[in-house]
Amino acid sequence: MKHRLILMLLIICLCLQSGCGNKIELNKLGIVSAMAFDLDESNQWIVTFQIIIPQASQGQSGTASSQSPVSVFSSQGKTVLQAIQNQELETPRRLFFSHNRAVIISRRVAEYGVDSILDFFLRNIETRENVDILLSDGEAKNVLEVLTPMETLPGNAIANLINEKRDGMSNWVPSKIHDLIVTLAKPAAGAALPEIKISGNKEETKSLDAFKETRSPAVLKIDRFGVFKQGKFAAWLSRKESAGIPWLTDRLNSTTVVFSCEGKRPKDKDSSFSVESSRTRIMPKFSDGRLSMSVDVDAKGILFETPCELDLKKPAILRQLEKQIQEQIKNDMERSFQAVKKVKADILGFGDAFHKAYPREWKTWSENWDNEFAKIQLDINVKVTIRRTGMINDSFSKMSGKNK
Amino acid sequence: MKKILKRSFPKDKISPQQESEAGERTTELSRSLQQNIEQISDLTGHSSDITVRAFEGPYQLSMAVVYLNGATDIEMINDHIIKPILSAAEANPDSEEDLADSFTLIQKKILTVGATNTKMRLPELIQALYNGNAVILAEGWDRGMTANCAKWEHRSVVEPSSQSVVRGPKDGFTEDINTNIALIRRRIKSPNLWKIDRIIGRITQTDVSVLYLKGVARDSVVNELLKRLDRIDTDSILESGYLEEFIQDQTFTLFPTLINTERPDSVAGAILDGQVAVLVDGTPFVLVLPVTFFKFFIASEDYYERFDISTLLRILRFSALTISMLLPSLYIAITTFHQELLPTTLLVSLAAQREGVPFPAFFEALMMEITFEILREAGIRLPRVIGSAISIVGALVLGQAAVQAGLVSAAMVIVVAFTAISSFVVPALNIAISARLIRFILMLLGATLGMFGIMSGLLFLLIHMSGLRSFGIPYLTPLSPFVPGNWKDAFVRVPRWMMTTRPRLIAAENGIRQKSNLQPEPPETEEKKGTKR
Repeated sequence: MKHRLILMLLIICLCLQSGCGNKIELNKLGIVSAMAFDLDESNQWIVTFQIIIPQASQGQSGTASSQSPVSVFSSQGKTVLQAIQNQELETPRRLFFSHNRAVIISRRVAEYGVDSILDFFLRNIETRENVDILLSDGEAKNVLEVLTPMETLPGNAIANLINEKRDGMSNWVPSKIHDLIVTLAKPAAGAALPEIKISGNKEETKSLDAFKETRSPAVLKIDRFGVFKQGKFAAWLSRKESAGIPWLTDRLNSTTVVFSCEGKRPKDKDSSFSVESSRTRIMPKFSDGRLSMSVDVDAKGILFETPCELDLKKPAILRQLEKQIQEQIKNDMERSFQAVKKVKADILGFGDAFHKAYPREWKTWSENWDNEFAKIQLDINVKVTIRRTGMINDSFSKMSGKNK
Repeated sequence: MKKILKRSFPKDKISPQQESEAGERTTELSRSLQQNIEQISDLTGHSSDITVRAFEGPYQLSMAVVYLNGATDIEMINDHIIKPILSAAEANPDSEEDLADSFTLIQKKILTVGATNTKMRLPELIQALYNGNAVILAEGWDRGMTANCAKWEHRSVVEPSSQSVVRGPKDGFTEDINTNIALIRRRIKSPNLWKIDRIIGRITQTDVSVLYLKGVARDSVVNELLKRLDRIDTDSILESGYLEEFIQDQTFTLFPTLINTERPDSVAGAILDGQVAVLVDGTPFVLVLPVTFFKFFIASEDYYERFDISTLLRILRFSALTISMLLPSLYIAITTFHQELLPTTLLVSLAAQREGVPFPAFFEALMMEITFEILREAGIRLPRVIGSAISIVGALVLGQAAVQAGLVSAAMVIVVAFTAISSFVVPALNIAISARLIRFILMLLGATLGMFGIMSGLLFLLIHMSGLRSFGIPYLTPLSPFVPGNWKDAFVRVPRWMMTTRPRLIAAENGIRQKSNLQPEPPETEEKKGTKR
């Protein structure tokens, strides 16, 4: 009986003595929706936060608020955490990082090295590793200042720009912090991050007045890829140069291939093939002291758009078109591979494949993989299947007979 | 704890017998009619509803019928006691020497009432009087004759107000124990439906009946129940709730270990499952035991509707109880400790609502919960005519206005309202009350220790529940101990033809309910018969 009484007292004490620990009410939180990292001339960190103003982003009974949905703060410090600490002097609320959706790093930071940022994200309890991390050519904090008309929270808008795409266009390289950490941790692999850029006049989209116009004066846009070598920024790959990367890395969900339906390339004969599913198999080969990689692509999709007067009911014609598409895909892959080779950064994960296939030889290769990588010969086989031709068979130009 | 209780409630020094000792000197009946009547009158405090009707019987015997006005059928006394005696008096006008003979003569040959009895002692006679018997006394008899003419005022059988169904019998128990037993006997016409009577309550002398199916109910449970009933020595039993507190296995628990019901069909079903019913005179609520935790989620309608919808509804009831127990505490814990668990948009929306709310979430929730409990209590006590005022005050003033005034957030109102509605889904009111109490404890735990507090609270509850027993049956059967056979009627309700056995542990060992191949099949058509040949 005495024991039970003591136990009960202990339980009551447990409740009272906990002092509500890390309790914090919702209206004491400064919810961070996006972060940006910059470096100033003296290599001090400038950390910028985009903090959600809940009552402005959640207008009661659907009325648009006259307040900006987010507020942007910047602070300086010798380390990332010191910069955040300095921030606490400025913001009346406790910063809360669990709902951070995007991290923007400037090119300067990328060239300096992202290790301390990644360390901060891994160490902190609140931060998550599934945050999207993007590169900015200029100052990263400028990206956070742009208001996005469709999404009230710009942080969400940036994340959705990458993640919510049906055709997976922008997800050609992994953009989560977790992926970056995993690839950077591999000894021979190179990493790549998508670039986010402001197209248009940024100054005008800083204020809510931008929402009053139908065409936003500035929009955020995913553009090139920044290639990382040994944890540091090395080079940009243009969109054209990077078109083949998803094919090579088997990361493609769906995309559009533009090809010419007649052998040569008269401009007005461009057609579109929409890829629905695709599978890429890479087979590393080592013979006669030469490294080569055979890449087998199997793509299936729909013929979506064609101005050619072809009899699409005939299988032979479709086979012919498939060949054209195969050629186009092959070209894309070759171009991308050449571009990557030039940078000498293995962002395609070929190193892993060779490591698995030739574990013994890998030891010698790994010492100088970047150069070995540049020597790899590509042997591409593409198989394309046109599953359907959409709602109609023959093209409209053929049906109307205008071009006769 | 028990020590403290013992200290604060010292044992009664007065023994229960003392009160009746006052009439010790006059327990024997005398041979004088006048003296007997005077003694009865004295002992009953000259109560005006004790009616004495004096007349002359056969052999010029002066006689009297004493009865309690309102408890007896006066017509019956006139037609079956007084009239036969008076007509016998006409037939035998002469006096007789042997008066002792006249007693048996009247009892055996003259009276036309159903049950008569002989009482030698005065207290017994008076008790019989108060039980609704007519007492017949005569000059020269040293004993009294009682004839059962009881007719208490009672309600007729109406639809039970606390457990109504869409499909199923609409009759409910009444306050009259005999009616209630008849309602059960009508459903189970078996000689094996045994009834054991007890009279409990020194002053109230309340009839208590135990009903069970011999051979189906466990003898150990019946014996244990009778043992516990015989132990009770109290002055009054006014409702089955009095009894429940005396016979339940454990008092200091949040969970009820007995079910009460107003529905005769529920009781009949329970008896057929091997459970035991305890009926108490003066209340329509019948106790059913032993019960497991899962029995509280069973509505009698489950067995009348199709099995699939019954199963779905049962799962719904379990989730409703969980919601009514957990929702406010989870809301508090998540919004004050684990904001990272919410989707961003929801978090922003909740944060916007909380903007400008002056109180912490826990206080806000507690305030709204208490307000709701007050509303609910007021709704029960309020006269029907002004009942609608409650809904106006509740919905408008406390709901909308409180949000507009910035006292509580709109989300909190939704949480409290949803919790309140959920608590009404469970068919057994007493388990819903448990959930209500647990809700407040969990809210406190959630507000101090977050999700960790809630989880430890739930774990504690689980440990506590696994230790509970109802008349020796583990409370969490068939979950723990694991009895797979009982699952057919716990979380799910399987079709009737699959319920071949009675619930194990509750029913006696030979628990076969029906044949095992009763699945209905389509009729054999002519063609099929042809191919078979």
